[in-house]
Amino acid sequence: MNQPSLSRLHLDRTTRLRGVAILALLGLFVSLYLLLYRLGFYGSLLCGAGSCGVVQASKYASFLGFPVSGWGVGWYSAVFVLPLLALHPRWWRRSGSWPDRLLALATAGGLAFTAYLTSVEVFLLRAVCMWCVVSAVLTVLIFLLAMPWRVRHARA
Amino acid sequence: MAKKNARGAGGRKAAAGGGGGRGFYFAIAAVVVVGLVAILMARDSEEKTATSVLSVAETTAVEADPAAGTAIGPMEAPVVIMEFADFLCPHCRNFNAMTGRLLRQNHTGPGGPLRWVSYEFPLWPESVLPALAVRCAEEQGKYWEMHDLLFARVDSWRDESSPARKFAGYARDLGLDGRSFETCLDEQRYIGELMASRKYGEQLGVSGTPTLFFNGRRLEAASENYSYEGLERQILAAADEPAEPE
Repeated sequence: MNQPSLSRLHLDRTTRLRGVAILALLGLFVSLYLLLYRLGFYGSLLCGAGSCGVVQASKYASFLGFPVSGWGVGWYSAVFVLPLLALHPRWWRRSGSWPDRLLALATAGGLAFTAYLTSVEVFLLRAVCMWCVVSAVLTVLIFLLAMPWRVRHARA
Repeated sequence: MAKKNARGAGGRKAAAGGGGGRGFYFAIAAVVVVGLVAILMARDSEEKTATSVLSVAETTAVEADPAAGTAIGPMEAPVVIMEFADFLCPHCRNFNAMTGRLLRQNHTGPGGPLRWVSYEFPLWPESVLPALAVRCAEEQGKYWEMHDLLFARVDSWRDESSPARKFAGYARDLGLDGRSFETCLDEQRYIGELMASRKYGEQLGVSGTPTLFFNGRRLEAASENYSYEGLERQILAAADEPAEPE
């Protein structure tokens, strides 16, 4: 039977959830950095290669009246806390528990939003922000680790 | 019962301490420490290096472009003044009202001695929209009119949460196609040119506004250099100098 290649990594649920928490914590600091810049804590961004100025100054840097980086802080915080809840003794082995389901939902939503932001950067702004790329990579990795199909393979 | 006990004990071990749990908590602590230090160090290096919002580093993907400025005056004028300005900078407003606008009015006509090139140099995220507004007005041939109007009316739009509507009103006042102007502003059509203008300033060492370059030479921020009389004297003196033989 052909299984997705990632399932051959044989990461158990605990390892995957821990991975999600650590990646989310990294993302939380990236978002926090961008949010602090937006709030005026920093006068400039350390951007290396990229056009952070163009991206951060654009209208797409806000969503529903709040800075995108603020949404990022909230999302990464949730994605950090949910695996810790799922790892709590009360739910540690139940892959169908509500923290797992909520995590799957949150990571799918995060991936969709990241796809939207990345397409805005590439096709509309034609400018790429290094920190946005870092966040996008983290979001994809988090999604791959958190999705329930991985749980089913791990249990199989 | 046995099953329950096994699950309870194993569960606590796997979830809390055992099975690499200590490594996990160590990794969490390490990320927190490194993250906090990085955030504080970024603030520290920021204070040491720059006060600008959009530094050279963050716009490295944008090419600095001397042609990103907007010029008025004869191509062959003996004096070229480049001005880097921010629409939210009070000194820029005063300079435009007392000096820049009058010099352009009096010396950039046909056969005049002055060519004036304006470069937007947004210092804050809020400075981007007015800079885009003048670019959108330029698209319809009214750059300088919008430029002077935004400076003159800065008090009425500066505190707006979204001044785009006001800018569209100004555009209509100037006889521009309001809908086309709004579309241009909304899609940030000239953000690339704006950043290229800013980057050019950074390449020349501009860090504050207004900054003037007189025939390529940076003018120090002494009041004489930025007064109407002082600049006009320099312009007329340069215009009277015989051209250097080629």
